[in-house]
Amino acid sequence: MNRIFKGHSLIYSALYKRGRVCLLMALFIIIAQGSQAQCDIITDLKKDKLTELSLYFYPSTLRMANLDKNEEFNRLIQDIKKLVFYRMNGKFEMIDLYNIYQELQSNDFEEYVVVDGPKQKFYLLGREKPTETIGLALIEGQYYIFDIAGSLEVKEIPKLYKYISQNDSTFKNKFSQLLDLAAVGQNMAENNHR
Amino acid sequence: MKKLTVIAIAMMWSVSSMAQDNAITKYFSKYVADTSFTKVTVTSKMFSLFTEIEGEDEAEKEVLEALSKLKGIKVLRSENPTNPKSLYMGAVGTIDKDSSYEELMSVEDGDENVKFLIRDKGSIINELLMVVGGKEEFIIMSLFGEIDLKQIAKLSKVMKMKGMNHLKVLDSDDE
Repeated sequence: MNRIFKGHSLIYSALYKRGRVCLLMALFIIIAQGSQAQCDIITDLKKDKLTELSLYFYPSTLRMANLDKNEEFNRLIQDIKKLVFYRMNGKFEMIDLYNIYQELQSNDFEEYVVVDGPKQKFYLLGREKPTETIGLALIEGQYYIFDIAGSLEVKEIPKLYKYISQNDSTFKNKFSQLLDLAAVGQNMAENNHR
Repeated sequence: MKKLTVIAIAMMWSVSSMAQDNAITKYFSKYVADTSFTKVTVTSKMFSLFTEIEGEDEAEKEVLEALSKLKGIKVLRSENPTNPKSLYMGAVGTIDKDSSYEELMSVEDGDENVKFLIRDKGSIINELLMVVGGKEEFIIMSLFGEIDLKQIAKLSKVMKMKGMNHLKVLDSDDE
């Protein structure tokens, strides 16, 4: 009887340990999948060495960027899980941008807004599950890509735009500040590299 | 490479404009390949996002409801064209040939001419078309979907698009 009990105990113990290992593995897979929530098409650009500058924003860093403590800005970013901002390098060309655009469309991304002009281009695409918004832009000969995981409070965009245009001489001025921020990020990255 | 890029742009525009019944797709596709023109498209998907938003007050609710019924916006804009007046006259002449468009309003002054036209099916307006011919620019904008004439003035305030400010006169709340 005791032998049978001991045998059962050993089997249960082995199953318990195996179960824990399985549970840990499952958790690891879930976490790994969660961290890959952002689209591979965009994150691969960094791996392919097509980016000149990469900035990553999380809810905490986005709130920190709101120096004026603007409520609309906070509402706009409240459901954003991660924001990736890339400034592309010289290897990235117009045809690469179109290829990304088409690849995104074949990966369930839908077209939201397209601006195609002689001086600037902007493509905004999104998908619902998982919620992700991607912007591809060409401004003054420089390519930019941003990828937002999580939802953007669409209603707040006009209010934010109004706020920016009322409190700044021009929207461009504010945008240039963002680009300055990008330059600061680049300097920091270069200093860290040294 | 430049040829490839132009073909890619034309393909993208034609795919996005498929199954959309509006004047720009119908009559002004020749400007799509013209790289001096800025082309803007806002799709129905973008407007459908407004259906999930709750307005804070009655006025905001009305605007959001009006926005959610839109199927899209298409804009063609040329800055500093060689002859903006002839572009304007050509566009108006093309639209005039189509009897389904009815003139809603026109503004003519020394600096710019603006014409608004609508296309309706019964009591529902399916398209609002705006043609602007200024001294230095030419714009055609098509707003399509289900458009409430009473809401047009309110939408024009939200959109802040050049020329649309003339529609403010239609807003009965401003009287």
